[in-house]
Amino acid sequence: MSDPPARPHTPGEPTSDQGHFWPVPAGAHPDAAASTFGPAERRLPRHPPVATPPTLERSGPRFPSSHHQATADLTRFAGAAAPPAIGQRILVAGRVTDERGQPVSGAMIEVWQANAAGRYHPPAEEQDVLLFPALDAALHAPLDPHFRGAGRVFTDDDGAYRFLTIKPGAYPCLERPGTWRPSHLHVSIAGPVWAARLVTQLYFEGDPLLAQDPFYQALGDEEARRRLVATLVALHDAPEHALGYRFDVVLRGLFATPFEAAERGGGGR
Amino acid sequence: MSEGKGGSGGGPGLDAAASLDGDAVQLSMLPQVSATPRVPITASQPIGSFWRLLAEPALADLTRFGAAGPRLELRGTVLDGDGEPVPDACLELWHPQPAAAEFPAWGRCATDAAGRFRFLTLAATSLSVIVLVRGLPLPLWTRVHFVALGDASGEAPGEALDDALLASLPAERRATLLARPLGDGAWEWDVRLQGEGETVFLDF
Repeated sequence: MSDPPARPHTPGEPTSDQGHFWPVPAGAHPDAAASTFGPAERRLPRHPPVATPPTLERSGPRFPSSHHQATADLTRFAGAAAPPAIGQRILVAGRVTDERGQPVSGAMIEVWQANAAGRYHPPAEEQDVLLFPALDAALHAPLDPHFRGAGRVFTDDDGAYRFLTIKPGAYPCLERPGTWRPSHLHVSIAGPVWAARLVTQLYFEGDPLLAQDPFYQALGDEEARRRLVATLVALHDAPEHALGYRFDVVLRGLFATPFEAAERGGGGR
Repeated sequence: MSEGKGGSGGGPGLDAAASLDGDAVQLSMLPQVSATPRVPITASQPIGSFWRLLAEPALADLTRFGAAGPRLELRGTVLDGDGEPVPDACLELWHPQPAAAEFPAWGRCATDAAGRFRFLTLAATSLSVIVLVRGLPLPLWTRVHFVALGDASGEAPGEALDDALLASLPAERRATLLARPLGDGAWEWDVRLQGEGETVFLDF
C-alpha cells in the first residue's frame, strides 16, 4: 500500500490524480431521517462519516472459486433428486457496472429471500431463534422444506450474472404493523472496490405493495426507487423455462484512473 | 413502470442471459456499456436479519486454507447508542492485498447474542472493515489499526503518526480505530455505533 495523500479531501472533489470516487448524489440512497424506524434509532451514528481519501478502498477483495462455491439454482436446495421448491420459477439476470458503465467482473452477488408463501427458512442456529422469535413466529405462512432461499453467484468478465429461483411472497412488515412488505429479494454485492460495497433489495414491477413499503419509500427519489424494480422480460431462447426478470446494478466508481487524469491534464471533469 | 426501465442505459429487451446448471437454457446477454459518462448508482437498502441464511462461520477464519505467518485474532463487541450489544450485525474484514490460494484476504463474521465477533487472520498493521447492521440504510466503513503501544515512558505509538487519517483525528476519536493488544497476537476492538466513544466511520 502506498502512502496516503496528505492533503485534506472533500468527498468527490478531484484532489489528486490517484482516483477518487464521485460524490454520492443527494437522494441516491434512503434518507437517514426516513430510516429511523425499528432499531435504527439507537444504531445510526451521530457523527457524520469522516471524509478521507480512499487509500486502500479503491480496490477490494477477490473471491476465487476455490474459496467460494456458487449456488445459481435456488430451486434445488434439497438436491437434484429431491422435489424442487414450490413457487413461480423466475430467472433473474442482469449486469453489474460502475458509474462509468464499465463492467464489474468478479463481484460476489448473494441473494436471500422468503419462500413463495412469504416465509423465510427458519434460522439455522438455535441462538437465532432465541434472538429473533418474532421474525419467525409472527409469520403464519407455511414453510417449504425444499427451499432455503439463499444463493451466491459471481459476475463474469462482462459483469453479467444470473440465477434461478422462485418468486418470493409478501409478508407482514414487523417494523410497521399492519403493512405488508412487497415481494423482494435481498441482494448483496461485494466486489473488487471496497468503497462500492452494496446491499440492496430487488422488487418486482407492478407490485401494489410498493406504495406502502417503508423501506422502498425511504428513497425520496422516484428514479432511485424505480432502479430497484426488476423488469419483466422475455427469455427468447426458452420462454417456457421461467419468467425472466432483469435487474441491472450500478456501483460507485472511481473518478479517474491516473491514466485518464493525465490525459485530461491532471484535472477533474 | 410496465414498459421497461427506460432512461438510464438499458434497452427494454433482455437479449439475455443464462445457462444454469443442468438446464439447457442459453440466452445471450448483450453488452450495454453506456456512452454516458455517469450512470446513476443503485440505491442501498437495509440488510435485515435473514442474511444469516448465507452465514458461514468458517468465513471468520482467514487462516482456514493454511496460510503461513504470524496469526492475528481480532475480537470485540458491537454496541448501540445505549451501550447494548448488537446481536444482528455483520462485519466484513479485508486485508488490502490480493487473495492467494492459501489466504482469502477477506472474511465475514456475524455477531452473536452478546454482540461479539471474532476473526482469526494473519498479522497486519491495519485492516479495512465494513459493518452492516439491521435497520441502517447504508454500510458503515471503517479501519482498525494494530499499533504497538509505546513503553511505559509514554512514547507515542509511532505507526499511528504515519497514517494520515489517524493523524488527522482528535485523540479521543483516533482511539476508536486502535485495537488493544491482549498478547499472543490477540487484539480487542469494539465497534460503538452511536454515542460515547462512537467509532469513526469513513466516507470516501
